[in-house]
Amino acid sequence: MKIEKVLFEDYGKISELNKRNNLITLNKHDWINLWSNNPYFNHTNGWIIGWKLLDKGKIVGACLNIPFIFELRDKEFLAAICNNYVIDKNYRSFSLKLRHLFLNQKGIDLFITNSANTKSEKIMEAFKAKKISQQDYQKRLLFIVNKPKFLFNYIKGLIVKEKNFSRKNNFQYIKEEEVKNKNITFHLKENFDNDFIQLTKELNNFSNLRSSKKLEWLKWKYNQYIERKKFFVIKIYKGQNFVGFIAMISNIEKKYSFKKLTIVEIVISDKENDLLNDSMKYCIDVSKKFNFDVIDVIGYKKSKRIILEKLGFIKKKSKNFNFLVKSTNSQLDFELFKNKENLDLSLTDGDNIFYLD
Amino acid sequence: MDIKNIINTSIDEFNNSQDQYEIYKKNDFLLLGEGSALDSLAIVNFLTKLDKNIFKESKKDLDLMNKIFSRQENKFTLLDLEELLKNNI
Repeated sequence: MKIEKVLFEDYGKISELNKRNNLITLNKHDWINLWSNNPYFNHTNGWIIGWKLLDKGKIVGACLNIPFIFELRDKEFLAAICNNYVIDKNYRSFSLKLRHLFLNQKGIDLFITNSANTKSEKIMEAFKAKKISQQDYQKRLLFIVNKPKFLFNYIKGLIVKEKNFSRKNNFQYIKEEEVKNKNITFHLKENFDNDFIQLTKELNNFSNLRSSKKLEWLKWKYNQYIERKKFFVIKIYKGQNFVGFIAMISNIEKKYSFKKLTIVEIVISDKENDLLNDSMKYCIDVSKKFNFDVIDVIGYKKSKRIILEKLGFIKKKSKNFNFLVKSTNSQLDFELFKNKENLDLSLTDGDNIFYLD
Repeated sequence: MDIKNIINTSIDEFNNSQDQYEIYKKNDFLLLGEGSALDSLAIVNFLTKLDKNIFKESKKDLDLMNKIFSRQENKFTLLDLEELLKNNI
């Protein structure tokens, strides 16, 4: 048995490994993009893209490693995001060695997994990682846009266990538009533009820990959805000032065949938090206009979640959203493990964000 | 502190906590490596119990998992575990 660094050429063998273990693999272009266009990877040497466990040349296990930058009050922190942690059944005792290699890289502030199942959660905890303290992180918020269809498909999904729904994506593509509401204007766009450079500079002094909102990071993270026209961003203007944005991805909830709009970014200055209510109302309007069945939100801090709940979002507990972190930077311990009400992490702060399609 | 005794107590706790795996109190019992009868979660469960028992006795947080996996050798037996604890407590 050997453990070696993963190379881009390993894509095919890792896909086969994933297939044997019922795990989704991104297509090759999107998979390579995780590193090749990653703003940190591009400016550094020596980042390891992952580790593979080999038995006579066959890849029987892998743990991939994606760099993210997190920001808090003008400071940047380097994070390693665990991705594609999978081992063939007969080699599972070696999985701990792979996890150890991931969690013991030098010069990293945060080691993160936000796609852990119960088993890998226990393993992470044994290596001194902890669950974030964020209130209700595991309770997704759902807004049911099309109630009759939601009920019908939900009941059908409970009765028909086999996933034999039609998967035709009869998307009515969202079209760009501009809507004015008193002093507030919403611009619905299909991509980020250069206005985001200035906005993220203005919002640089983030009071909440979160993955970088710099334009280069946003473009990298959402590239696969932007290319497939499944990404939308609402630019929020107060008067003439660009003060925030909400980003969304359209996707299909496979089990129940719902057309779903997943909110992946809610970035509004804390001073302008009143705008969130109006912005979310506009979001609901967009979802109705373009025939979505449900809006889905995972994570976000208490003050944002209260606004969403008042608008009719309902809580649904999910086992799949375990967010675990091993921190080597004591400056972040309070934020991650004690700041229960103000921690503002979401899907976008880990590798779950790449698997919404 | 009797390290052997702590290991044996932890083995008993582990064996009594589930039916799927059994750790035998033999020096050459293979905890980790090719041919080990334990899967990753079983190892984690055993080492977590051991970590707790060591902390109870010595008030030392050993971070046992990281110590064990920092070793270069592929195989790790109960005797190796005893040696590692003797060198770290």
